[in-house]
Amino acid sequence: MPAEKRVPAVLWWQVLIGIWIAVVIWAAFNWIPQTMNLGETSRIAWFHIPVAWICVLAFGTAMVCSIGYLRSRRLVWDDRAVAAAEIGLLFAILATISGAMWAKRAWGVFWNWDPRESSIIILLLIYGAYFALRAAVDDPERRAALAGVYNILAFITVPYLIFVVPRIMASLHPDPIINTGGEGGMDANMRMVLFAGLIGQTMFFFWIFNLGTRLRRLAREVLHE
Amino acid sequence: MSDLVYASIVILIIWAGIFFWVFRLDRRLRRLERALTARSEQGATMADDQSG
Repeated sequence: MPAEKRVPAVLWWQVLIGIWIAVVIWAAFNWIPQTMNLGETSRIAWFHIPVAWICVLAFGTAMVCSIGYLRSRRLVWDDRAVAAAEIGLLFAILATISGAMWAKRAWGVFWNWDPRESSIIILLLIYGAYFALRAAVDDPERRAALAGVYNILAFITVPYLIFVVPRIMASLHPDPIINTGGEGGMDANMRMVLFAGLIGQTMFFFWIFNLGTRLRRLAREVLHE
Repeated sequence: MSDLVYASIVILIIWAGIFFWVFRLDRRLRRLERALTARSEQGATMADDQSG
């Protein structure tokens, strides 16, 4: 087959991501049983957990890219940091919405200021401020440097707000669903669907992260001309 | 069909919409990148011709 007619490897990856996540969606609804003590509403967990994971991964990636910018002073690292922070914020909003939908069914209200809900709101405000800071500075170099430092400081709060606060304060958040020692432990099929979801969403994150970075770089190059 | 099958079909349709939107955005961006690269190469060649 001539080289120009060959299907690029990246296309196969994109198709694989599409099919992978579709299979996970189908399996989450139709293959695995409901979790013992949470009923059918527990199925939202197979989307909520991977989405929350991508939120942490994206904010971590944004911090690494900000360090990359502060070390090299190359604006492409700033493009990567913004793209990752945007995805992180989007997925934090999705995690909040999916969590609130579950809370409505399980607790009867969308919102009750549970420590997990309060900590995600604080996280949304912290990263909302990151974009406000970026919008307030015109000079690209100065903006990238200030936002880079802020991004590093912002990520320090992420493990505390997501992993520590909900565990040191009394929370209604169903940890036993992912804690196999708890009363609602997962069987092997559930664990397989959860990890497949985490892998699928991670692949999707890297795709949209690449897309966001290219989009920002292109916009910067066009504006400079 | 059960409610779970209906629910999974709705979520699959939403995922298909997101997937094809991102997929098309990727294609369009690739075309733009190629066009910009070709334009900058053409500009470099013209500058070389003028200086030569």
